[in-house]
Amino acid sequence: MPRITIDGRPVAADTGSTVLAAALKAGVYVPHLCFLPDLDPYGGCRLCVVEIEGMRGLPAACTTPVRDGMVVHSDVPAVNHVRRVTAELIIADHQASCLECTSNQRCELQRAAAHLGIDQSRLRPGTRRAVKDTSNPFFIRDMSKCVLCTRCVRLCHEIRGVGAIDVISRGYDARVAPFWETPIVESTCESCGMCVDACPVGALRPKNEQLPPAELVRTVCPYCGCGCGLVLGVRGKKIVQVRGDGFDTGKQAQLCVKGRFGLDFVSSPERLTSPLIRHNGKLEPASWDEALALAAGGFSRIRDTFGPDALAGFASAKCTNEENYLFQKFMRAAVGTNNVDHCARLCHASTVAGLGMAFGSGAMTNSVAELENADCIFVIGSNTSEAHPVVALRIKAAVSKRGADLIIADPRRIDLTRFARFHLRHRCGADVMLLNAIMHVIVTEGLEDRDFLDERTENFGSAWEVIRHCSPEAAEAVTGVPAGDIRGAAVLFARAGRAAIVYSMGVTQHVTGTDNVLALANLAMLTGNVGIESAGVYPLRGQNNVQGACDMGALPDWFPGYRKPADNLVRKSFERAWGRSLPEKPGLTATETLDAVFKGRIRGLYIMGENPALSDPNVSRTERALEKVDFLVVQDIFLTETAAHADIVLPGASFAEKDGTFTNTERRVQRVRKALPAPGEAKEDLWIIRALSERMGYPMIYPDAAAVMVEIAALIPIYGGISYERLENGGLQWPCPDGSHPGTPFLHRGGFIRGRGRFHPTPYREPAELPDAEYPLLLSTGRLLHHFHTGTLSRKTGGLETLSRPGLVEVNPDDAEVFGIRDGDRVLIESRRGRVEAWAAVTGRARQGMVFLPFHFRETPANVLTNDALDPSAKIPEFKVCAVRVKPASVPL
Amino acid sequence: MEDIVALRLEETLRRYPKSRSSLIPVIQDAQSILGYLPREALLKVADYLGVPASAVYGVATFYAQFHLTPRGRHQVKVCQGTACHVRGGRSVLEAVKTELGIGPGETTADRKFTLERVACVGSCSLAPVVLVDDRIHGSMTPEKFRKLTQVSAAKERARHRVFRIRMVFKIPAADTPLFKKNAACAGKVIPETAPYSFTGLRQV
Repeated sequence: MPRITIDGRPVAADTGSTVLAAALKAGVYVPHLCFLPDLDPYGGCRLCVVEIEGMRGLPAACTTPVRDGMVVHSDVPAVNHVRRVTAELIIADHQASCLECTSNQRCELQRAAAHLGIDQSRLRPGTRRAVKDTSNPFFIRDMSKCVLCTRCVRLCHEIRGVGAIDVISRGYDARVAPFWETPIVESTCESCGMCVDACPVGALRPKNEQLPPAELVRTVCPYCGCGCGLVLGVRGKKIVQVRGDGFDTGKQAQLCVKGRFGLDFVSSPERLTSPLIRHNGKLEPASWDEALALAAGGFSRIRDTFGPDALAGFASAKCTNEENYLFQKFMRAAVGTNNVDHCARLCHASTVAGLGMAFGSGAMTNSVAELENADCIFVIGSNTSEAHPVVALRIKAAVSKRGADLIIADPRRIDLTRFARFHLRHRCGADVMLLNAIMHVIVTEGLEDRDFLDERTENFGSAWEVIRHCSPEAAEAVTGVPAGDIRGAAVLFARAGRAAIVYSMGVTQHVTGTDNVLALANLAMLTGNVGIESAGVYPLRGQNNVQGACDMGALPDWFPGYRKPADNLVRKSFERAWGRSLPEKPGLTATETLDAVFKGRIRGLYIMGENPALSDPNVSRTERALEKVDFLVVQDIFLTETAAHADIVLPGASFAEKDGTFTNTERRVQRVRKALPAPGEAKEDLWIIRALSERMGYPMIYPDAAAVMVEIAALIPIYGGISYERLENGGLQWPCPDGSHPGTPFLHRGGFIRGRGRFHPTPYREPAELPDAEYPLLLSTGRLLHHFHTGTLSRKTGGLETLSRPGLVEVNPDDAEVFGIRDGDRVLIESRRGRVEAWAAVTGRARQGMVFLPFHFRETPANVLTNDALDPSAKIPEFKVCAVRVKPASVPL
Repeated sequence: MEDIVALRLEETLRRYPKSRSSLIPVIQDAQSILGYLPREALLKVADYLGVPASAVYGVATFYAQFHLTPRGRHQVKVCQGTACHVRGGRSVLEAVKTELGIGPGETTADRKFTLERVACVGSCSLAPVVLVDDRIHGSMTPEKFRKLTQVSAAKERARHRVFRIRMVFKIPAADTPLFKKNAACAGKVIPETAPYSFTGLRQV
């Protein structure tokens, strides 16, 4: 550790640090504007000049690396004189109306000026043009206050990999602007708002954030599985500010537009504020006593008349671990059925099944941060930069900072392809064929990891029997990917030292979902990329707590901690802990539950925080099921499309209104903290489940969420060492078996959880429904950057609505010509199950022969069209492939 | 952008590696093909090189050699360097502005002239000087400039036929006779350099 002296003060600097970083760390203020710890050294503003003994002139502290024994003079007249002139020049070019600036007292130029004792401007004011761009719904760009530190520019390029803005023109005319100086909202800007937080002055400032918060609460983002830490600024029972939580790293924590700006739903006037009971066909407000008595009475009656298996419950990947744990405990112990499932059925059921069979654990093998050090990253079926934006930053950094090779397999030209060496644009549903061909190349070229195969895995022979028939040429015919590209990508992947596989719904949501996952597991094992750092298999989990909800046993075939109900020892231990005899037979999956409703086997449904009426495939059928079921209780924070069918609606609490934990996609258990009271009569979900359970004769006594975690830790070995106390110092990655265990960044080190990694043969099977003469196009569904799932949360933020126009369907230009569709036309999309009208966006993003429709919008409910065919083992529906026809709509709306 | 122009731009792009280091030569070439750098051309360059469009725009606006608006057929540069200034460069500039009816950085409506002010062209002994295209006209006065434009206009008329080829920005629909004729001319006139650059034409 180099030791240096700053103004006579001995300072221990970090190796590789700069003089400025060392000074700031030691608490010595050196004026600076362009320096930001996250960015590469820049040396633009010249305010941090210092005198260093033995060096000529006045070097900038931010670009000078520390050397042992360095003697630095910062606060001396010669240095301060130069800094003062520089600062005066900057101030002359800056519209300084400090009192009316939201950055007042937080402004770094103000601080530098005060430090240097500047009390009047000696220089003629500059001629900077005052351009105020208010086009973005979330922030203002006021260039009259810009000091050209270029933090925003460098952040946008270096860290976000977007590059929406740059410095344009030169000299006095230099300014920060998007391409062609359009309003920022028309540029490629993703509205993440990180530049706003990075701006040292008031040139970039958030709209609607005038009030400084009275209290800061650290918690976790409620949107996707990235699990980004948030700091909520609270004042007067409202969230007035949202920042990324840089507590653990000391750097700016990156967020995406949804986490940074999309939390308006918490204080939405549409929130449910009292229980609702259906009277004469209409939902009317009621008291908790009435609602709970009615709900408990309804469930009890069905249980007593038709048996416990006539009831089913959907837990929620949006709710905390504690809530999911209690929910499944309620279903299993209070009701007595294993009929409990949640939306993981619709996203990663095939992962849990596939990776479980191959590796022994369905979870992501490695940590998100490790991606940055991978040598090759293979992204398949994941539009990472839109669906998991903060994970995508790591992938972009691996490519742009470390020169990693990126291979993308996706039918659409997703944004990440800008960084890719290969873009394999395969036909939807042909994933297994593509992967088999890649493995074919690896083996025929002799690039497989023989030692790994021999020592750590089994059953490669039977997989090879299938793979050997899948030459790249054969695959080209099926997938549409040129054989040369398959070869190139395969060799690139196999030759890389550490190669990671990232995948998501594009792999899992198929009738062959489990096979897709098994093929990826085969590929990872074939190249020896499991059980080491910065490699492995990354199934990106979609919801903030879908990993946790699975861990907690909100699954019909698993008890908490992935233990089999059929195993007598396991069942006995839970029976002892819960004081009830427990059902042995696996329950119904979410997708099977709806079938069972039609067959009259399921009579009552308890749905917590899910919206199957918009999220499940073939929703007209789902809606009929919700209508048909005798008794439906929905617990949610909004009157969702599902809740509208309910007999009783129970108002729950949002993430900001309760304590608990979420487990993100990298198995990291993180603390969710209560920042606000729930609105009106709404209650925390733990309270609701407990109250219901008590009325059904099974009291659950927990003083708070922490007490639930104590029980979880006692019953689930992989959570054994997790407690709220430990989580105060940041998240912990399971397995964490005991109180001193530091958590596990990557799995399968030294050996697979199941012993040996197992290869499975994965013969190619076609999707359930392929385009034909009648329905000639293939429909795929997915997410957009600005929205989340059924829009229950994201569509409550007006700004997100302006950024993504609802109801666009992507059509390839070639298809548009064939079917007589022009960009912006109103079109009718029809499948065998239903029809939807949308606006055509004719774009090369979509592959020829396919159309893409996001599933967020009730105006264009994509799942009216999708196929409810299921993967035979994981029961996941095939959201990603169905056959449709598209034609201009006769009557424009 | 019209198809033929887009095609030529794509041909040019393919000669360069997809890397940020190609940026300046690529947009230099693009400008010599197109005469200036229209929005679509910069987007195409950005897309090809994998560089953010904002960065391409930043470079194109940084260097004086790049132009984002169509240029006149003749570049008139009026020197405002020290030597020219003391010998009346400012009144020459005023006269040029009046005569052409445009300010510095602008182009006449008929796309004939683009006016620019420059700071010294290294011909101080001839001050004040005006450059019309690559030719230096020394000891300039408002009177002399008026004459110069008249001469240029006469020459222009003589060359009119040739210039017309360059002016075909709007390519008519394919397969019409005019299209074929224009396409043929364009091919003939400009083997190596640009169809729309003045230097290219002078080789005819």
